[in-house]
Amino acid sequence: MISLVILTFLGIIAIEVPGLIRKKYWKELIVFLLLLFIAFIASILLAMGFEFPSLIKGIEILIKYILR
Amino acid sequence: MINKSLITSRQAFLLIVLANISTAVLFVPTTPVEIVNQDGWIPVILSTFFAALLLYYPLGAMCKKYPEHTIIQYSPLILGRFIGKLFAALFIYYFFIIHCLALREFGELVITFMPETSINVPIIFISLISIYTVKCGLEVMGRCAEIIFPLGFISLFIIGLFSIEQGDYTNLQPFMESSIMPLMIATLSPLDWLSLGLVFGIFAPCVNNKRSLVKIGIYAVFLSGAILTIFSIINILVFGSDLLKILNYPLLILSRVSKFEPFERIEVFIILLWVSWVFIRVSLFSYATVLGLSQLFNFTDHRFLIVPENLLAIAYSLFMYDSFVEMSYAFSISQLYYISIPLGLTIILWLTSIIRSKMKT
Repeated sequence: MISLVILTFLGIIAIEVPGLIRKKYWKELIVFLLLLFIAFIASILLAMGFEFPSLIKGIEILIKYILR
Repeated sequence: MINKSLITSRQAFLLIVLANISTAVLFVPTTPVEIVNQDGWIPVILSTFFAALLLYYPLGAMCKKYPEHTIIQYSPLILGRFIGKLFAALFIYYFFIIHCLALREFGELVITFMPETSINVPIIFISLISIYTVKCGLEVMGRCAEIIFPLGFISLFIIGLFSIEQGDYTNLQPFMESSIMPLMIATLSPLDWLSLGLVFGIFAPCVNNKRSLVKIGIYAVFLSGAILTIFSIINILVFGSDLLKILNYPLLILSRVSKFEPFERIEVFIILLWVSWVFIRVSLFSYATVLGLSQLFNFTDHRFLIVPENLLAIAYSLFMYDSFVEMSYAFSISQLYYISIPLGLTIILWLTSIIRSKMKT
């Protein structure tokens, strides 16, 4: 599963990055790689079965605080 | 950035309607019914008027004032560079969250039909289609909306027509039992669905007829509100408020019970409606996030961001909630959180633009 994720991301980099380098879009390249890096970390964690703390707990506390 | 693609005002109208109701029509009116029982359809009507007044009129007026800019571009013009960029980032965050939620809701419905399948599979496949559509551009989405909206509308019409004879009119009585305060709290949930049309701020510069911008938004919210109201009334008539509180997908169950000799078991229409409409919503919000991000950082092109954004949305939509139960619980408590970005920020933006133009003259 993890190797599949790594292969997918390598494929995406191989397709998208040469075009960006050819057009000399350096700022765009940085943002692209940054977003891809966050997505990569999240996908790897997902494939490993890691669980993030849920956002709902925070929202619940906030809403109950406001409504009271 | 120059937007070369143009859509007609009818396509823009249909895109707003699809953004508003494509998933809401399946869940309406469970959350209002939990609060005000058999009066659950009144909050839907109220929220239509609130949404038209608080979101669509200000948004249309601002889009008319800045006809060549999206909401991401004119918020720094109105509020100054720093706060404007902050507002724009919050709008983009909202579009991203809605994109993830639409993916997750789609996956949850598909695995009720195919319980052995993992939820990742439908989410990844609809993301592949959405990546392709967003790469094609807004014009393609507009034309898709023109084909897809009548399909879903006919399905809804058939489901409503076939099930109306099973309704029991005593389910709506006693009329107006609840007082004004519970009604207002119940209004928040339909308002949450109807405020998704904030995405209009992104594609308004692409509409070819700039004079009709205010009218498009108002008409679209009234059509969405009318469809939601009709289905809330039908659901309450058929199921009654006590049963409706425990149903996950009222429209799905409605299609299972509705029959009209010789037609029975018309759930296939729900699948048609759901897959086609959610596809438009997913691609529209993906487009909004990507275009917004590229305009926030002043990029010349937005297409290179489509794939990473979609991958991020897939990962986040799977991380968001553990199960359907947690998701529906989150929907029932977090309306205020989801309303505050489209309604609150848009109103602040609009009032500031009015005050600034008054001060100039």
